[in-house]
Amino acid sequence: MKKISIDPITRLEGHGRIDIFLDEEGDVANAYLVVPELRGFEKFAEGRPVEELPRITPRICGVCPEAHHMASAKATTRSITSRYPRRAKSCESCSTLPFTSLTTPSTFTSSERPTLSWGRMPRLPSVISWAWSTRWV
Amino acid sequence: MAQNGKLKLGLYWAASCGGCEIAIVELREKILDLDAAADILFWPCAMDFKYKDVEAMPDGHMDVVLFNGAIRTSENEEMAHLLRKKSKVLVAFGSCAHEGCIPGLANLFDRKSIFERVYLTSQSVENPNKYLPQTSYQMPEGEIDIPYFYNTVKTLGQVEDVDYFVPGCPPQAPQIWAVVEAILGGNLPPKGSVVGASPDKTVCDECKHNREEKHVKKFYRPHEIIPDSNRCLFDQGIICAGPATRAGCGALCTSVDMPCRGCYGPAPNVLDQGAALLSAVASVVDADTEEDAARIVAEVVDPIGTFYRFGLPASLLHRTKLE
Amino acid sequence: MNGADFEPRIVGFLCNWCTYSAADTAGVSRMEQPANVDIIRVMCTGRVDPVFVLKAFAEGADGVIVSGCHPPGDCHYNSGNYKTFRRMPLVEALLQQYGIEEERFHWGWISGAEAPKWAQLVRDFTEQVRELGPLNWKRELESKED
Repeated sequence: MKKISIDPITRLEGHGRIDIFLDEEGDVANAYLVVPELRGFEKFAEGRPVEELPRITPRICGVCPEAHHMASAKATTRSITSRYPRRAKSCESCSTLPFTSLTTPSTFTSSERPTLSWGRMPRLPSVISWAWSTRWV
Repeated sequence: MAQNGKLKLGLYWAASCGGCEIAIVELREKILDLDAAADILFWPCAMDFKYKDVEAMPDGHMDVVLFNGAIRTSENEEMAHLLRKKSKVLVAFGSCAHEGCIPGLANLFDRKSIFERVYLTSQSVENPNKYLPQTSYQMPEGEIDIPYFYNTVKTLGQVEDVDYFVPGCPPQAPQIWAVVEAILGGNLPPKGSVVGASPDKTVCDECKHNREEKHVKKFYRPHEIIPDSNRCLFDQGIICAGPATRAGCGALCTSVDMPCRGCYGPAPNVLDQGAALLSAVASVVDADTEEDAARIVAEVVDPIGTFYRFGLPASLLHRTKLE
Repeated sequence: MNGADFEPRIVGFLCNWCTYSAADTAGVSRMEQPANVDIIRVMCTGRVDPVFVLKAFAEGADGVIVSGCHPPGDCHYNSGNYKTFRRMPLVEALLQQYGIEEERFHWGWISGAEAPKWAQLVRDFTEQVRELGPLNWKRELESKED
């Protein structure tokens, strides 16, 4: 069987390779996504002071460090105290990363018109999911 | 230089997070200047060139390669060797390539314990057949390979000949631009230098807090006290890596009252960043008897994680003992 | 390589005024002691940067000794040994976390008049390290990397 490798896959965060196997007729028999990377955060976080995790976990991903920071900050807060500071909750609610950075580009690039128009409005589902995540709705 | 006078540039990531790529994007409008001055011939994050395109290049084809990420697997090492061959100047870009950075904390463990945790015992993994990664596996259609996962994380400089080091996790955008300008202007310091950071100062020099003589009677973890924003954090008993860390970041962390953790690497002329920090921390303990001193320094939790947060692979001992 | 054919390599950072003087006396007086300690004379144990200890182990030492004048009052420079007893416990904790057995690192005080104490330390510490076997930090790392 012939194998074609797309190596590496590009324009996303992370390492990957696609191995495509062709049969005798040249049709695709199967294709595999191969992930040739591992760093082991789950393991080396063990033994670190809990308050350091919000500074260690953002290094999981440089594109979405805020998500990891938020998750570990929430977990750290809850592990240290049962009294949950109101200020902390407000800070968490203010996270607009998913809305502003991660979804907006795909929203905007789908528009062909350069001036402000319906095509440039944020998609309704992303607004709803953001509002729900802040618990203000 | 290419026929059109542009710099031939390559960027690659080994065991990294992508933050150094985002740091390049942080150049904001200056990225257009970079685009005008350079032909990017390899950048998996942003462009569709493949490994075989790099392999097909003549040796030394690329003028500069910015290599970020630590050397964790055999693929990372092979790419380090390949990119060294295909470039004139190889830059260890960012803390991972410079000194190991956060992935380097895996040097507290080994392959076996990491695999067990990630693939067998992690709460979010479902692996009833207990599969562990193997470098080669026979699927019905053919063989699939993955790289070999080393026991020890290495820095780029430990596997290849590096021309320059740009420290930082991530390197700050103004510093990156300064390095780009130095490359374009042809005025780089001697080979082996750290660029994009201060040649002779520590983070304390950039920090706005007021420093007085230190008499530490107790060490506090950052969440145990609310620090006085005007006083040096270290004076207040919070361990801050500023004294042992090279300046260049603008003391970003201390400006929000969080102690430095040393991501810009060892201060100039320091052989081992963790040892320098340990010495700084212990020397200012206010204790006149051995018992008091022992009691106070015993409050330091996780010595390796505290002193070698970003630089464990680059340290003198590199990793904990392998069984 | 345990056993009788292993000769431990021990590095000793000794302060000029006290322990080095004691070692000198022990030698001149022909006190019985094995020759396994490579002595590095420092003017004060306060000069012993933790990096010296780490470098010694990294470069092949099987054991390290740091020894100087008794606190509180014997230090030739008043308080150099204060720095030592503030630093060394943290060095111990660091070495332990690295996996280097605590029996491989000894720090303490031996005055110039305590030559027999030095000779005894050399005898005991050499045997202690011999029993542990060679550390061979770099070579072990390379061989276990596979």
